[in-house]
Amino acid sequence: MSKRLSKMGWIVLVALLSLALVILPACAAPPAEEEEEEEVGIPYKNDGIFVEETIGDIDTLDPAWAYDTASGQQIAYMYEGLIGYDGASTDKFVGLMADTWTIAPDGKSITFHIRPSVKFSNGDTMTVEDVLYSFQRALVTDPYSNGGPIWMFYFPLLDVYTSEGITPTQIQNAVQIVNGDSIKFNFVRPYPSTTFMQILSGSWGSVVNKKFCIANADWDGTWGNWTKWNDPDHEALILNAKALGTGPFSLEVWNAPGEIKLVKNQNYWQGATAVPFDRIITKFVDEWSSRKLSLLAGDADLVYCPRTNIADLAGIAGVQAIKDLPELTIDCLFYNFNITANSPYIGSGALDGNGIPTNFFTDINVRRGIAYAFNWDTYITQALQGEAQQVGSPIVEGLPYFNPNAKMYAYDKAKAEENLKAAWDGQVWEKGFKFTLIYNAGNLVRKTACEILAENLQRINTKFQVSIQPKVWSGSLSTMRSKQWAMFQIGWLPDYADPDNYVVPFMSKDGTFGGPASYYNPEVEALIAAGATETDTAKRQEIYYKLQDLYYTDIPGIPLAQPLGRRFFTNYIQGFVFNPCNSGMAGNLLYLTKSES
Amino acid sequence: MELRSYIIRRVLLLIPVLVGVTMFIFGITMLFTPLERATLYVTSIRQLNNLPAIIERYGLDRPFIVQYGTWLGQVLRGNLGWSQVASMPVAQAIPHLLPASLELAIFAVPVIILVGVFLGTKSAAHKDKPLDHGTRVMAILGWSLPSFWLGLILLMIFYGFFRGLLPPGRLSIPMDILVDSAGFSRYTHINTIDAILNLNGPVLLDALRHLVLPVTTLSVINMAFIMRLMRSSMLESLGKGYILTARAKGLDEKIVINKHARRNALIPVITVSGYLFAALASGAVITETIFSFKGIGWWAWQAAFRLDIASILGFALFSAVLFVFINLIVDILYTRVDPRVRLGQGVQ
Amino acid sequence: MRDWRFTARLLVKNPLSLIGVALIVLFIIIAIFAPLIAPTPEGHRDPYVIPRDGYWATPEAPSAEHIFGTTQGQYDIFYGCIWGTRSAFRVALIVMGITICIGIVLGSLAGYFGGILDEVIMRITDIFLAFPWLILAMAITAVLGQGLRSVMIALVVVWWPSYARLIRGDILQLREEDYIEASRGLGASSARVIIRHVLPNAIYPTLIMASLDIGAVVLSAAALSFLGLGAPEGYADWGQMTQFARNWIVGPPGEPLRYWYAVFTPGLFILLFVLGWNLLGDAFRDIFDPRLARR
Repeated sequence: MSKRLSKMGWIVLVALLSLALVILPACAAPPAEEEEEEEVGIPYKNDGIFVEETIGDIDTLDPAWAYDTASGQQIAYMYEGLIGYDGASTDKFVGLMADTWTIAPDGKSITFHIRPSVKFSNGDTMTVEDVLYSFQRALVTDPYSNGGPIWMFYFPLLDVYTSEGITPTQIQNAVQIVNGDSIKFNFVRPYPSTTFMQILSGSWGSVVNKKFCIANADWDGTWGNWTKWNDPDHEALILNAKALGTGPFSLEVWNAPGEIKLVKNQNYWQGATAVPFDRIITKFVDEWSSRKLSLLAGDADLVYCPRTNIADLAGIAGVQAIKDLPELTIDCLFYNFNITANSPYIGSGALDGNGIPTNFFTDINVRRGIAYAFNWDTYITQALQGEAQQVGSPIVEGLPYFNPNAKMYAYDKAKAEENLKAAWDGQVWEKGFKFTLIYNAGNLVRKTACEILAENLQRINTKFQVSIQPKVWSGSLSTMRSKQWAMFQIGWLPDYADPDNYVVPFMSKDGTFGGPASYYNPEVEALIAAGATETDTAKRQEIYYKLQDLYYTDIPGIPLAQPLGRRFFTNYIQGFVFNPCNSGMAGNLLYLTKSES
Repeated sequence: MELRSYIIRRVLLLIPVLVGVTMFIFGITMLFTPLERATLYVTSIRQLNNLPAIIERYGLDRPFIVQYGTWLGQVLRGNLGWSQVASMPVAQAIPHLLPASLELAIFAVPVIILVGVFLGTKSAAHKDKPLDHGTRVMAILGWSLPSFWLGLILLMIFYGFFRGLLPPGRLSIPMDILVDSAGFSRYTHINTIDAILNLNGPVLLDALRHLVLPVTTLSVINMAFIMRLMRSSMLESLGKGYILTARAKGLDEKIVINKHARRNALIPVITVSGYLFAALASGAVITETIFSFKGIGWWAWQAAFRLDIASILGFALFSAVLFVFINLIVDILYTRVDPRVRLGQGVQ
Repeated sequence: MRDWRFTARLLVKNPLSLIGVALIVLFIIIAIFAPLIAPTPEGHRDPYVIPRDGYWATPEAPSAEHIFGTTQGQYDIFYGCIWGTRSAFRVALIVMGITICIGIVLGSLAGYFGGILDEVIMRITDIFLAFPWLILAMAITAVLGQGLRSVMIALVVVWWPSYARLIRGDILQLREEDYIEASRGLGASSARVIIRHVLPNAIYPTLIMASLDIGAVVLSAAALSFLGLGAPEGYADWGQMTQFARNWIVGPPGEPLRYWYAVFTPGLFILLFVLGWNLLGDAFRDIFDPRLARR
């Protein structure tokens, strides 16, 4: 009998569940106005533990390899470099593993005195040997085939971009121990010290434990067969899943993929009490709804919220939304000056109304005309919910030498027409054109930018036909590289907060984007080269102001916007300090506190 | 045919299947240009200009046979390559990710079978009456709900509305910390089983709590299939001669249904449950994603998406082996349960 | 061969099959009259791309101009659902059609001739069945571009083995029938025997399976959309629209179902479509099953 009942119970349960799932939404049809859910706010959970839920995944924990934000963030929690950014500043520094430093007046070297009595999380004392080993190891490992971050050391130190062909002597001369307690970096020619200090503040400047590395079969510090560790495969990385640093936290366990747990470093040199949490747990959760519910349930202290959904968390009791953060990011549309022949994105490949020729964008009237057709107001207010500002060039606000009065384009149908009528001796206007805009599949904001442009161009002249196509990550990267694209949208995050890190990729023919775009302007190249190594700030300003101007007049691309950032914490987390150069969302954890009050 | 030689023959047949599958996949991945395949190794746009170097380093532009041969050679030496998606060797990734999927399958399959069989029997016994209609419609409704919709609604109700009652993920944070600490021994990495082996009640309860929603989602969706199968199987069984005899003998209807008809009707269900288990253990992508239960299904999807060929091939090997073994077990079970079938005749 | 009137009567007598028929007929009407029900705006090139009313991210509730509301990005849901009916039929019928054709050809060859041909074809189906379909779908999408065409090809490749096996199984059974023997004894060629005698009898289980599977095809296409492999955003496809609404299923606390319309309506269309075909398929099975008594 009781068996019967439970079976009946089953059927009732299943029936109710299925019916409810279908009918429930219908019942909600009349707008639920006064849902008198007393605003309970978010419950306080996991005292002493900071929980972050974000997207993506960690690539590696090795400072010499990591180039993505997720990896960089964890490394920043576990390791420290010689110096770090001072609070919110991107050009003032505090000493970490170094306590004082001197910049040589000729700009060709910087000497850092190493802080004594600093311990690694396992109790080992950090010595100047560890520091020397860390930087030489970085130079030795340099995974240049994969494209790691070590070029940022090689360029200032040795004026090259990779370790190909490098001799041990060069490395030994680049980084040396002096006076038994200091590390000296030598540049082969003068280099702006602030920029180098910024580079040192990144995760790639982390100080590792020499004994630990050698014990794990990493490079032994000698030069007999150092090439064995040079440019390794990912599999061969010694510090891939192991970590020992001097940072506020140490690795507890990395449950790849999906979760990593760090514990407080009891031997932290600033004192264990300076570390506000016993544990940090970072979870990689791809589903937004899941992350949102975790935040609201108190199971997460900080979550990543995609831009389209920021309205979801508006005005919720217990949620702390920190808005309008001046991130140093930029989104930009690029022109391709030399499209590969037979590209599927250029239609017939000729100026006959059914395509575009491969050099279509070399005519400045085309570039100007299309730029005037983009509507920044619509894009920024609607697609970016107003949380962005327009900039005139890749040098965004917050970077040194940003020109607040730089000229910018604006939507102007008349000027667009004028330029397009003049383009290619009037043929463009007469015959029209056809090409495909590509965007990253799933990215609605990028798709919207394409649609705005396509629609406006069509309104100007119905013969201007632009179609839109999504491409997955692998497809979009390979299309970029193979130069088949006509116009492309790309975003950029800083490696270090210097305009050089922006103008090179966007304007130089060897740059990450300038290369695939086949953009070459000799004046620009000369200015970029000069600016990179110029030590005089007044001269640098002149150079970068000129570059911003050139971006406007030569218009290799259309800067779309500098999006402003947001962070979503619970109210229990206080003290967040925004620094655009921090890898992670939470910034420097030492400033945070978590408490019920 | 003797059981042992049959098993050996089937296992040997596994080899051409494995070679066939992996060659086929390799062939498909060769449809991608070397540039596209190289993008796997790139984590950020800054590395765009390294693609040619990557192609050269990993030999991505060598002919198909050379690349396949290299891979095969490494596999035979026990090296399945590196999984970019999981950030560990493929050979490590599979046993690392399998427990999550297994846990889901272990709990979902019994629920699906029990409920499906029960509903199917009832439906068949009351054919064309309101109960039958109601059950069938309900089952189809459950099946035609997009799984992520169902999952998210459940999450919204039982995690959002009921304030954290049934959370996503595998364990809550305090238990998660406990489980990775020295005070807890890991045997299988399946939380429920490990909790039992460690005689730890709170962890067991916590793990079960996290299983409720994903298992419910999987059950509601897959249950219809079993229900329908059971129903048609029962109907067939009920139409057989021996049932007529049993009824003529005056046996109670309940016994006729439960004891006689159902036993034979269960045969196809048994065979299907094997495949169901295999499918859930290797392919419940959507459920794994929504409930942060990252297992083999999630891994396979990410691998496919990012063109992580080593992982894809590893997964193909794993799932081919899994299916073939399940096939084998099912075939053997089939002969045990239905004496009319002999080994070697093949199912379906 | 079949008594159509009898069949039709049986269909209508059973309330469930009546519902199934009604639903399918309704969808057919919607599909045919889509341009009238939801007219494409002037100058809009591709009718399968849903017209967009602005660029705001948040879905808007149903209103006078947007009867079913809008999705994120302001795509009209009503338009999407109506034209999505056409997409659904296109995908379902094409995938099923091609799958059955391939299944018939390979299944008959394997089942009728047996021997080596049978072994080879069966091993090939083994390989395809053991094949991780996700990777296949991914590869096809990446090579052919995102869109319903890739989805259809991927689904055909995944589905045909089951049909080949099904038909082969039925033919194996039928092969031993007396009338087939007789036909062969009279000197009929194999092709004639297959086409005239074997297939017509083997086809019924296949058709039943197919009508049940049509629902599964549409659901699989929706699942592929969730995994990022379906039609692009803004395309009139139910699966795409449901997945587009994914981040809005859970609204703000206090109003958790605020954006119900974004996910409910396309989901409802899928559900009713699948339900209709399932009920129809069940009805066909009950009618055509030779083991159940007729009259």
